[in-house]
Amino acid sequence: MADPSLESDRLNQGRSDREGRSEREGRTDPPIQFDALSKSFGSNWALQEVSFRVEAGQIVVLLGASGSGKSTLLRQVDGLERPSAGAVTVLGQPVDRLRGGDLRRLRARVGMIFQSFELVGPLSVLENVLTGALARLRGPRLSLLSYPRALRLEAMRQLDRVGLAEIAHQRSDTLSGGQQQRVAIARALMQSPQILLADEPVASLDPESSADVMALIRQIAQRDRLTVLCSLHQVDLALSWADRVVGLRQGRVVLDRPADQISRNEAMAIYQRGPAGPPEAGQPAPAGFDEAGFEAMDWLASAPPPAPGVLAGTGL
Amino acid sequence: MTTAVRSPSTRRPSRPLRPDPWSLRAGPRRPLDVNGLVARATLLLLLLVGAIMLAQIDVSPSTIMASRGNAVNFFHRVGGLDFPPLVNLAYQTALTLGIVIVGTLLAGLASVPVAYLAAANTSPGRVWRAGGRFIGVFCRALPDVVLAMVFALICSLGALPGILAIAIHSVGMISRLFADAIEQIDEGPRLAIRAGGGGRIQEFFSGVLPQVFPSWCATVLHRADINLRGSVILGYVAVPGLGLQMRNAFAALDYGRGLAVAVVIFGLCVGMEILSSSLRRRLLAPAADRRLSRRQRLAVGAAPPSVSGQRRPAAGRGAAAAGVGSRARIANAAPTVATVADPRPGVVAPAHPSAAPGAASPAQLADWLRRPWTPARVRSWIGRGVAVGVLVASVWVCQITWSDLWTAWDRVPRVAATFWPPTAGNYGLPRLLQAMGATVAVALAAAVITLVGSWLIGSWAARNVAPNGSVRAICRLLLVVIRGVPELVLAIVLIIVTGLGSQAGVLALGLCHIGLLGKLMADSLEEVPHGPERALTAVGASRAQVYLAATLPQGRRAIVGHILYVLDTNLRAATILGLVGGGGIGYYLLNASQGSNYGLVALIVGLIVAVVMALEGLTMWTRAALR
Repeated sequence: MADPSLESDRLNQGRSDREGRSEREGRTDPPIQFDALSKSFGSNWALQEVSFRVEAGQIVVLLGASGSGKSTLLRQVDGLERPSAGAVTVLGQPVDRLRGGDLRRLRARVGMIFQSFELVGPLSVLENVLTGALARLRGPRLSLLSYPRALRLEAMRQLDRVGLAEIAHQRSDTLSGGQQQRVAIARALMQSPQILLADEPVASLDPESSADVMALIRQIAQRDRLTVLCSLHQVDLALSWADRVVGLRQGRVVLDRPADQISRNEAMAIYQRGPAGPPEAGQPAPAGFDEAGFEAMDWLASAPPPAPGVLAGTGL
Repeated sequence: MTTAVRSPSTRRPSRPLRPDPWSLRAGPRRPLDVNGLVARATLLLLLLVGAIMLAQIDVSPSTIMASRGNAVNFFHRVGGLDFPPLVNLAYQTALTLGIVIVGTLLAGLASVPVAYLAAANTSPGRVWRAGGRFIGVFCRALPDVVLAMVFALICSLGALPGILAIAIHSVGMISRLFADAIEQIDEGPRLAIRAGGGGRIQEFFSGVLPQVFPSWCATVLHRADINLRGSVILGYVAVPGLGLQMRNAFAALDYGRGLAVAVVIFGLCVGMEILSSSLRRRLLAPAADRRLSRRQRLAVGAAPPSVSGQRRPAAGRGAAAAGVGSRARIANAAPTVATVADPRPGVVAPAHPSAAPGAASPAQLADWLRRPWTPARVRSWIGRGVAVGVLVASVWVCQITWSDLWTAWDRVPRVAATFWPPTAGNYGLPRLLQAMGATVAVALAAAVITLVGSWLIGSWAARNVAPNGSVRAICRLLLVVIRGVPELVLAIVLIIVTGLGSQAGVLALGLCHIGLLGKLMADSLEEVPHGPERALTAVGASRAQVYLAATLPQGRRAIVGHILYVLDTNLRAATILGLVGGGGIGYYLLNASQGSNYGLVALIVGLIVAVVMALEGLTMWTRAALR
């Protein structure tokens, strides 16, 4: 079995080499940079000419309606999807050109948290956290004891950070949603990431658990100086939690400003249907509409028209 | 009420009070499903051919009654059951079980890579997937008795040919069910491992395997059950065990001994069926809990009430409750680490023991790393220990000649050469094709008997159809007992009663498979959504009306799939029954192998494989067309 510490040393060595090179050249690469990024699925454009950069240690929230391209954008960072045009640079590396081992090594430095937690249900909490260390190991792992003790202790430490060390041996599919998301956070931390991606991490949770989980992510991100890119649906949560908000509508960036300079109405305007264009500062949302109203509007706009003849004979 | 008066030019046409049948007819029509129609016509044609064959083979209650004199004579000659000495019987039983267990386990291991290639979500590419599926179908088409015959030529005589034959033949079914299980997994965990930098193999072992393992174990147990019933036939090609004992006894016209061994085999099969069913239920039970737990957490975002005794920081709680909050409030809200609520009623996980998260000492972490010996863990380890013990005992009792594993390779080219070129010998190809046709006729005719029998018993074995619990329990018990009867044993008894020929084969196959199809039908009927049944009951429909209008239509697709599966199984079994005088191509296969005419064996096996694969293709297409 390969020594994981050697493997992580190798990763860290490569990391420091690249960082050192950047510093010598007198520039600091942003951890994440999108350059005219476009992505299409068939004839549908999920992302169109998206360009922005996320600075080190920044906590950025992506806001937008369902289908606005938030998840697609996050997946570009991890190389889970490839751009149709443009470029994504993550930690100084062009993700779209990386393949095989190079891509896996980059992914090992980028933690990801999912909306539906994506834990392996029959495995214990501790085993789930340990899967975050797989990139550091060679070959498959079949049980808890197949992981080196040093890694098991490290996984316990991460579980302790999220407050779940005591239930490390419980099956993960017996936990509550909030607990499962904490386990997923510990799994991401197990990667010792420099970037943390979170794809609607609280969409499946109640408001109380949501606040807990978001507070935990922020606390850890600040302590570990992580760069965070997170997609959210909850406008209020986004404005109170993020350093900066990027709004997406129909795959285009329509808003990009520090969170404390955005009013609630401006943020809500991101959810409006219509041609994508930047909302003007202070532009109010249409009267009488709240977030649910916009969601309903989205649904009505996207509902297919009734098939011809369906209403025939009904008198309508 | 005032009525607005409109001018005739602006008045809209009056609406009919009742829908106009012409306008309803003008509504959208379902596009004509040509494939579905052809598939239904094919099924009906197969049933019709089966019914005609049944009439031609002359399997009717009157013919069976006419043979009752033979039966009386036979049982008079048998006198009584003559069991072998207990030690010998125990050894033969252990040997039979050992061969089945080792063979099935080998098949399970060999099926993993085949299933990995054949499953749509793990296969590296289309060509690999087609290759994986072909391996499965080909293995399923090769009769285990032929494989045992070939391995007996390559290896030393003993258990190894039987083990290898069972292993290769079982790869067909096991790999297919393994692949189905892989295709049904939750893809999320795999994605998470990939996102964390895990490789394909790591994704499989950490993301796929834990999800499919219980289902895979259940599949292997189910196959072991089938293999035990099928192992009887291996005795006819000199594989040791109860099958060989029975064959030797019947060959020496020692019917008392032969029937006694048959009774032991029957008891063993029923026992194995009950054991494997209960083990399968236990294995799959956690999966059901898992689904419940997933539903729970999706229903409320798994939002159990906080059960922690520790008060949540007011700022965080306020921010969450109002949905609004300042950055400072959210940022400063310490996560409530002590809240380790458990969604299960009555289960409260202990609060975090350390003063603050992340503050545990290394000693404390090491202490938490030690997994406590809970009763569940103890039971799990006892189970594993028993499984390993059974496996070791199985290998030991088989007395495998391990040296064969490397010396046998030298004999492979010589043995392969004896099977080439395939030849029709003295029989001629038309006669062999006719025999193959007779085998297909036996399979179709038996399918009709199976269908009628299992429809009656299977329907009453379903909880939502049976008039009461007693009827259901009796039908379920009947299905278990029927499933326990090896078709070969029944075929031999029936041949003695009705004489050589297709009649015995059709009856044996038709009756034995009622157990299998009846159980599958009962399970499918029980699984239909019960809302429509309740709705019909509420409007006063009778039990039969509810069954015909709600239960059966909902379970129709699954039942058609099961019927096709049984037809497939019948065809394979029909080729084998010929070996004991059940008629068809099996008779020629037995003659060819006994006369060491391996070119003829190769041709007959080729015919069997071609017909089985053609039927496999037809059933796959029909299933897809009716989906």
